Amino acid sequence: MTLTSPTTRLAVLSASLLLSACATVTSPTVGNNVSYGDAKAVEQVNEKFGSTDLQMIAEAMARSLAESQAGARIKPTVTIAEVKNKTSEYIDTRSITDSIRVQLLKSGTMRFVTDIAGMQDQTDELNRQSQSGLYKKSASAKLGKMEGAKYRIEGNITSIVKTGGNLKDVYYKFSLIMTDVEGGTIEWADEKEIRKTAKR
Amino acid sequence: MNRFFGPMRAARNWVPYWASLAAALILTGCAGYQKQMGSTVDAVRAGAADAALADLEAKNAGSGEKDLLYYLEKGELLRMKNAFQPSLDTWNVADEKVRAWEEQAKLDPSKLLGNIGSVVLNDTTRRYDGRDYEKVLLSVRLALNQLALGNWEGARIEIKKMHEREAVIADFRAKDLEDAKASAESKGLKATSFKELNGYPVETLEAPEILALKNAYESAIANYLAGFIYEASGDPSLAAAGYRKAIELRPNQPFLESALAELDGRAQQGVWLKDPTIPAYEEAVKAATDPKTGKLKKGIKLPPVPLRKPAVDTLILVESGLAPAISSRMIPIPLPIPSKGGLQVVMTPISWPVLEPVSALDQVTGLSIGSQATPLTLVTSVDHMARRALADEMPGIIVRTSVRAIVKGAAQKVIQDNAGSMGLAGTFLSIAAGVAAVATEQADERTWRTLPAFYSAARVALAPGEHTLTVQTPSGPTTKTIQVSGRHAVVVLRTSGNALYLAQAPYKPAAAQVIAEPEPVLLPVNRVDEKKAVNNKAEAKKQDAGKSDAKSSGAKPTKPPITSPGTVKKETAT
Repeated sequence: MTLTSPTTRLAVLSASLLLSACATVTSPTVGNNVSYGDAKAVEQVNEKFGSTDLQMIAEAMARSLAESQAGARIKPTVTIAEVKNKTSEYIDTRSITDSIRVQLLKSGTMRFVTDIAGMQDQTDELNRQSQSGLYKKSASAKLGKMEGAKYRIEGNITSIVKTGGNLKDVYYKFSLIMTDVEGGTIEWADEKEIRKTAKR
Repeated sequence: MNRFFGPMRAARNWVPYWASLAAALILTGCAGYQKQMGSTVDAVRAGAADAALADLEAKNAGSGEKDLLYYLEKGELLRMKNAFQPSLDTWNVADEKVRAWEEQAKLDPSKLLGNIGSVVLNDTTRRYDGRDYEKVLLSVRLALNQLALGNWEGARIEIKKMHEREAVIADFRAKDLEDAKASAESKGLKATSFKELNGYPVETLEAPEILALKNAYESAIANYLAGFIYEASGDPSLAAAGYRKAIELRPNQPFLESALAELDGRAQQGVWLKDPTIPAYEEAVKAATDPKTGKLKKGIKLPPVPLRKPAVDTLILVESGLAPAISSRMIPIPLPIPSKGGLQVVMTPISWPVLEPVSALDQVTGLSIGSQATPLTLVTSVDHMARRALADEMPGIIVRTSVRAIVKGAAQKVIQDNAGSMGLAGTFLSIAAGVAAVATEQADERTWRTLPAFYSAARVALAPGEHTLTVQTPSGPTTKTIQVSGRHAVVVLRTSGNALYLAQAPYKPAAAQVIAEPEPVLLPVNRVDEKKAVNNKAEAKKQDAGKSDAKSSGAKPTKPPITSPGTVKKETAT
């Protein structure tokens, strides 16, 4: 089917109109005991590490990293290593680096290669396609084609907690560095500080 | 009966009669939990889990809704019997009840803080919501049951729920303290600390190790276990927080400190068994090396390069003893009682909760794996947590109990004031009310009794397969055979009387296959090429073995053929 014939064009146009019309219809709701909030709303429930902190860090780091690559002709390949949690709080640092990666991929400034955490699944799939004999040779992934990372990103998050009277002060510092894998030189580094004070 | 009611009818004054009867009724109470649980606890102490369970069921027979304690105790007894799934199901019911409490604590804490029944009658009329440490340790026990069933993901979920629970408890406890202070001020009560109760055994709540606890609900064992589960699931950043928190809660323990210090190494390289021939090999290399040039002397044949084998990072938990019992102790305190002539300060007998001591002998100190003695560290004492919990709850208990005593004092006053107009019945009622005021005073003795009192732990790298563990119990050494496989394993031993109960993850022989790789040993310069050749040969052999294993059993090679050196495979639950 091509889009050249008038009939086909009309059919596609009608379908598009129909779909766009559907999109404007408000979804029906069931019950009213639960309300949805803005995922980006500033969360100030308590002084512990929260969604706003995660979003602030990811945004600041992704912006800074993207700026560091502005004007580069070739998108560098990058891998994200571990961000060490040096606080006593249960902070899922992988969730932070996931957000940074999403924002950088969306901005199109970098390409990401499989990180250490995903390597097992990657090699399993590669081995299955290339060695199991189950797949068409012409369409299956071949060994030896994986790309290595030019840069490695890693970092840490630390905190200082102080309590006095009915005040609790928490200071977070999230530091990230990007190292040239071959040369071992640090090509970029930045940090994001957050201070939160809570009254008991 | 006529002799009783006759004079009362004659008095033809029904109002004081009903007032007196109502006042007498509110002075009634119920039997203590310790007495109720006595035979069940005795059976557990004797190592008879079956008998203890039958006893518990007999005491709770009936169609009425069972309370939280029933499910907590039953789940523990089922776990002792190795009935992990029924235990999990039972504790899930308990967990639902705790979650209902959490919801109420988050949405309307005032309903939990004030409780009319407890003010009018006694604390045992309150719905039992569990003590703070019990709520948190329920999550720990749920996680351990999940591990015993081989469900690491399920254990991770329980741990995550535990963090949320701790946050709710922290908020609620802060509000509870504020509420107790405000109530005490409004009622003109001066004594809100157990230290001000003349005759209360203060030493039971004031030992240095109790005061050293950060609070009554966070424990080193819960956080260490959280760290171990996160590490096993490939989340070192979360594992670090768990170990760090465990160190904060129980400082200066090398066992806890090494878990954090060695975390990066384990995450990057995995856990390996060392070949016992390594020292001899290193000696041979040293002897064969020319000290001047740093190169191997010619013509000397070195022994084969030692191999290292992957080990199972095994956490051994040893649980012992029973959480301390609470008993009631009557101590009179001066209270302002309303009367016709205004407030009268009356020495009022009040029943206070006192924690009974636990036997230090219950603590297990010795552990051997095979013939090798392994150090065992006491990580958490539930006894200390229970004492800290009671110390924290005492301001609230004192306020509630004092208010209750004032209400009862006023009720007695009503009876006494009307006794004269009721003749003989009034006299009986007055005496009965006086007796009931004392007899019905009952401190809240409810507490999760079958919970272990002590959690000790050891962490060892074990070869996949079978091992024997020997624990020194008060009745002598007792041995159990365990089987470990995979990269991580949790083995739980519980002592009770002469019995030693074992809980461990299901054994998977396929996951226990061992594939060795050459031990990295520093070699003289001209030996490096030879080592590389050995490495390549071993690597090729390993890949072949991995492929055939994967084909035959579904097991993956210990290290994938194409990975960076730092790769650690995500946990394959055992």
